[in-house]
Amino acid sequence: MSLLLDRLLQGTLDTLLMIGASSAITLLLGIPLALFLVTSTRGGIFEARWANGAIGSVVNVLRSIPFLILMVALIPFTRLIVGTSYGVWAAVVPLTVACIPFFARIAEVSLREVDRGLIEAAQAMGCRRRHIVWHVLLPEARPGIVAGFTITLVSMINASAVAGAIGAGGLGDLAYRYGYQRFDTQVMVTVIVLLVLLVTLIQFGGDRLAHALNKRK
Amino acid sequence: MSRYEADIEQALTHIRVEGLSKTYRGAQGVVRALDGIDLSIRRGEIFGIIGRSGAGKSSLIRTLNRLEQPSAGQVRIDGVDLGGLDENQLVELRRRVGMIFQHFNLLSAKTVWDNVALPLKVAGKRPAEIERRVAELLQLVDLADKRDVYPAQLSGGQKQRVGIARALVHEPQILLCDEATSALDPESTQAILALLRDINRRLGLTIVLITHEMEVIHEICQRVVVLERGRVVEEGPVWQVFGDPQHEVTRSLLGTRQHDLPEDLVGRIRPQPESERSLFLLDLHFTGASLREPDLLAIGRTLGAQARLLHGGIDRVQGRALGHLLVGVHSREPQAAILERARGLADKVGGLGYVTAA
Ligand SMILES: Nc1ncnc2c1ncn2[C@@H]1O[C@H](COP(=O)(O)OP(=O)(O)OP(=O)(O)O)[C@@H](O)[C@H]1O
Ligand SMILES: [Mg+2]
Repeated sequence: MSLLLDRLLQGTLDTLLMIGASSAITLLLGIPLALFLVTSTRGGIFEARWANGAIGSVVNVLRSIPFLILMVALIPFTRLIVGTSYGVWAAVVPLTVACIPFFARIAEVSLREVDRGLIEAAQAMGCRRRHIVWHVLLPEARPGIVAGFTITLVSMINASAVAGAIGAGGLGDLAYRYGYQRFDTQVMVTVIVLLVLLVTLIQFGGDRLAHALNKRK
Repeated sequence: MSRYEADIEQALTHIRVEGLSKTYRGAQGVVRALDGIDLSIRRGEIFGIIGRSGAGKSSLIRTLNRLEQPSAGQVRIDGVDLGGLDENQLVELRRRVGMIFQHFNLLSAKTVWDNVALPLKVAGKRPAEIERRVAELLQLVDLADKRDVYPAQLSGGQKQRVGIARALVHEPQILLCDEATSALDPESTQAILALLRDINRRLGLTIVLITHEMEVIHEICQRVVVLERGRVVEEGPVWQVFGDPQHEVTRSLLGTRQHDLPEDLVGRIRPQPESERSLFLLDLHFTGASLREPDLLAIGRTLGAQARLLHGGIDRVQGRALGHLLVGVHSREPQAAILERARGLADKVGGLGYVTAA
């Protein structure tokens, strides 16, 4: 029993580590990507339509590949970066590759919804383009970006369980080995409860934060 | 114009617009929003722009701080052509030209204080200076107690006051207002106009404003230009344009202010008197040109004891009495004689025909 408890604890920690690392990277790279997609379109403040089209297509392609297939296809790339295709860190690579485009598209929508009048007012008061990004686009879109990041986290947990099943460790791995291969319902149920708890916590926290950041009410 | 006069004109001019055109290429083809505009706006005046929807008012005002790039022609501020500015110079220029908007365009994620402080912050001013300046401005617009509130919690009038504070924080010499009071109720409109008039006087600011409310022009502008299809169709001191509009567009814009003939009279007007009791309708038009005011005693004496004031009204604009008085004259004299006698009573005197009392 205590061995199982150990494994559950380890699995939870592994999952948290996987999600933590992947989400940090997703946030760090996803927001600049979203900013690029928004500002480089026609009439944007850093208009570059050709680059916008090219990067937009890459994002679309990555988003349309199912996670399991993406993960397998990325194995050589993962090996190149972390040296192995097995374990928690190896899962971080496909998780971020899948989640960055997903998150960037959601953040892009929030950024695009920022009123053009605000950008114009900023220009009229003598803001440079980088000021507009920093003082107008990001703060105004912040509640939407936070809500989008919450959605991204939840689907990342989803994907991490899939990754776990093919050797990444974590709760998914546990559920697969005990629940699927050994028909151990107790472990299965425990894992499900833990996952539900995690998702609920994240959703609750994300909603609260988005609400607190929204000053438009 | 003599050399001397030209120099004076030059010295008075703050903003000079020459041959300005703007063409938009949109989905519905090419739109010529501005078509060869020439204008001079003087230092320290409040200058109004009116015109029907789509006439090009916003396009014009937006070229004055180059939010809009002209397709042809020039805008010069203090003699400097805006077309020749690089990005740094443009940023500098925009700090000398404030702008306020119909929908305020305040940043919802920043407090009142941060909204007003932003222009200074991005200009790299020192915190102590920002603190001092923002406090000063919030005092000016009477919002010192709202400094930590978010815009969503303010009324429309308060939001526009924040907009004004933000626009003035760099101590600009020009303030552009695009329908700044159009989203406000009458009371807030009055308060904003009083504020604009006050800063115009105290700071000597040149104000250019667009509005579709003729009251606003009437109340605070000194000169006005009327746009139609991207062209200037009428221009001059407000008293002149309002007192004696020359262009059909101006008349229709002023429509509600003009004292048109009442319906019940229009149908009954005849070119000749029908009976002994017919009244000759005399239109006394005060255009403001002569600074004269309606002299009731003179009207009574000139037109006889049975003269009736049937309709009309007088507005005071820039210290001049403007408007029409419609007087019914009971007299068997020929029209020409009455008109000749009445000539001195108003700036323009006309006969409209005869009506017979019902
Ligand atoms: N960005 C744009 N792209 C294409 N056409 C435009 C654009 N901006 C304005 N126009 C067109 O130019 C003309 C003048 O527009 P403008 O906004 O200057 O009018 P306006 O006098 O301010 O009207 P309103 O009183 O309705 O605000 C209109 O026909 C409008 O449709
Ligand atoms: Mg407009």
